[in-house]
Amino acid sequence: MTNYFIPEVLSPAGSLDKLKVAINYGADAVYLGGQQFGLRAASDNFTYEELEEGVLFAHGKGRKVYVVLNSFLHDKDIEALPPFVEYLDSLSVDAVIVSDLGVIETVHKYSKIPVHLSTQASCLNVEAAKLWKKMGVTRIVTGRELSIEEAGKLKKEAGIEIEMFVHGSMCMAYSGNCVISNYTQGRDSNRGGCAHSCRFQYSIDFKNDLEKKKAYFMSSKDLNGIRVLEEYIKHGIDSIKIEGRMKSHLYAGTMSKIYKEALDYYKEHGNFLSDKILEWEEELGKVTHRAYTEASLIDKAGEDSIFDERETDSSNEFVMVGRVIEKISEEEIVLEVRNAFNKNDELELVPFVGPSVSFKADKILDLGNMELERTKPSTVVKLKLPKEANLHEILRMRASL
Amino acid sequence: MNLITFVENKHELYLCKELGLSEVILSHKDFSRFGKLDTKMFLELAAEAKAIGIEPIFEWDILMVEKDFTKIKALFESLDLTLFNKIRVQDPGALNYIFVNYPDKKIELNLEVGNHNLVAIKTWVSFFKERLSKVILSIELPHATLSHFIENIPCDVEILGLGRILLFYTPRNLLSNLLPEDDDLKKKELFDSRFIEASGESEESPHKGFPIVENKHGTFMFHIKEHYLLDHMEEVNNLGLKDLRVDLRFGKDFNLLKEIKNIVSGHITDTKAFKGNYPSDLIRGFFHVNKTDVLFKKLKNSRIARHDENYIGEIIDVNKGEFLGIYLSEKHKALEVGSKLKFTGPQGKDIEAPIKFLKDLSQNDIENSMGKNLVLINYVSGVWVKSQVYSL
Repeated sequence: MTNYFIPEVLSPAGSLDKLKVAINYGADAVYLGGQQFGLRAASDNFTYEELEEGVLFAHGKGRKVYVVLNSFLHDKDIEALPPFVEYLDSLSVDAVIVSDLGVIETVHKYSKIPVHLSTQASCLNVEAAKLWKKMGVTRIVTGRELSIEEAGKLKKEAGIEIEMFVHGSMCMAYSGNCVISNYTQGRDSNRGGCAHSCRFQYSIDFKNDLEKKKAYFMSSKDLNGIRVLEEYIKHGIDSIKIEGRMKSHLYAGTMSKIYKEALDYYKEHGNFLSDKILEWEEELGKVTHRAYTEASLIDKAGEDSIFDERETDSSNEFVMVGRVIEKISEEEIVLEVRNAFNKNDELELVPFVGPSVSFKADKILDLGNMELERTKPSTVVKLKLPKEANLHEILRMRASL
Repeated sequence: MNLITFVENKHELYLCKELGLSEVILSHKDFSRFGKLDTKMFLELAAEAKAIGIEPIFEWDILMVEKDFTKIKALFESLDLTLFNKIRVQDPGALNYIFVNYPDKKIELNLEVGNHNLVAIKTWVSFFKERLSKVILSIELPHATLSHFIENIPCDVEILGLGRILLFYTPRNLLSNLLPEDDDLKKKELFDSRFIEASGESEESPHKGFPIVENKHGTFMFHIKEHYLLDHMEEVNNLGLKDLRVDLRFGKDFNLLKEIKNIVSGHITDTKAFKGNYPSDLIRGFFHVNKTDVLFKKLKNSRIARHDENYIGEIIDVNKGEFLGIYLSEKHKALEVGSKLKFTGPQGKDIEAPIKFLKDLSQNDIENSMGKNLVLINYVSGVWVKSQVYSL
């Protein structure tokens, strides 16, 4: 093991279950939202009790919890903030992620919780980082338009921690600078109501003799930084962030596992000169995603970063079958079923560490021990596995089955 | 309250003088999102404004990644800045740069994005103190809120009174790649000075014809209607604004400013003719009310969220007539036969029932649920999967 500086892997936790999944699969830290003040109004988010359980779980494993308070709040919203901030302080959360100066002030006034500046604030240059530092921010989540090299410069010249996205969906607009939903759907995109209008197909009229063009012209491909992970290390990025609080357990688990595994490999070898990179890429390709791009991580995002399609090719993708929620014996588990599967379908157990294990679901029982030919989503079944599994491990199968 | 606007040539400048405007905004093509003035024109116009007694304001509203910022700083430092007393910025980097390096310049801070609470605005104002000559507030703030803010901010305030509503700003080029390869605008020598305009409509949105612009700073999409407060001048006048901004760029007849001036000063009260001749549809936006958070409650079912310390867990399996499977919370109060439970269903209906049996997954009777993740209890009619379970 060498002493290379290795960034933290920061994973999304859209729910308490996903928090446990992300942490068990290797996330060093998770970010999550309470019932208010975040940008994912439709996500499960955490109640007070879930927050408490989540923080206890994470801290029990030596991991960190950051709570997003990244809406641009109106006065009536901010009035409700102090008790929540005090509650978060009492839980000893490790930081809050904030985009609004009013929220930063409130957090400072009512707690000692460190403040990370959300990507929503679009901090893009050294001078801006210096200003936010003066405002009491301890970490910048950089705007997605920044290159890794530029982010490294922010760290060096502003003397502040840097968190940078490495994977996931991307806003096409400068974050925080899109209000399409506000005016077209009556939903404040900067308070959690984004309607994803950038993913619509538009007919573009150049008002000349050119034919109208139909295009998903505002839709961005998904970020994938696995190939440039060494750049994050080289430029001292403190935390690599995975987008996707609304995404599945399978996504949270796979991303946490692959990026952690990759960084651990670097920690041991000091390089990525290995065929492992192909395996990691293949694994990242198995999770539902739009076509991948490195966006602006190296050079400014160009034409090839636009996802001019409604759907992506899902032929290589896997779907989550379910999650282990109870161990009956060494090899028999209870599975919470997310996607239906049939008896004799080929499934894969995705262990927290190491390669996936394929097996045939040759015997499926319900909790009353009745044998089933086919499962249903949102039910639980008993299943025999080829090896011992851990609680919260995930089972998956090919989407094309 | 004054009128303030953007000027792009001397004709417009002289008209501003004629109408008694005391300040104008100048947009340089490298510093402003929609700037068209090159350095020579920009400085000439600033000098001419000064000469005729109008204060020129230097607009620097682009957002900049570090590499671009380095270049733009060099250009800024090369300009004759003695022509300008006020710099108008939005990027916090430009704000800090001016604040630290140009102590003789006043700052006009654009807070139109976010900054919807008084705490935030007061913090900006108190941080920059007398260096801040004006803040430009968001048009998403209703007039009652604006009025309250203005009363409590020791700084001048401006809002947009008439002009395009910017919905979207990206540094990526989204239009030029849709043009044919041989289009003149794609030629290397013209590309940097391009100003491509189009309109967009989506079948998934009821709104048709969003104006879209691509230039060297990226791509911008606007609302199909323009923001218009001139029908509400009494309310606008009572706000306590220093400036009301009018934006007649994007091909409008600048002479409309005469009529606007007359409406703002109260010489014209019937605006029907003005609106009839105006080249875009108009809306007042959120000036009277902003309810863009009321739909959030409908985005998810709050009844399936766990609520209090009596929370036991969630029903994850229902075997009709046989049993219910409860996935237990780690902190749940131990269950035992005879305990009474409340089940809150996804539809919000509450059902209360006692535990008649308690079994593990091998169907063995157990004394209590301690140490278990999942237990089986007696079937209770009307309880569904995803019902939340509470102790009573």
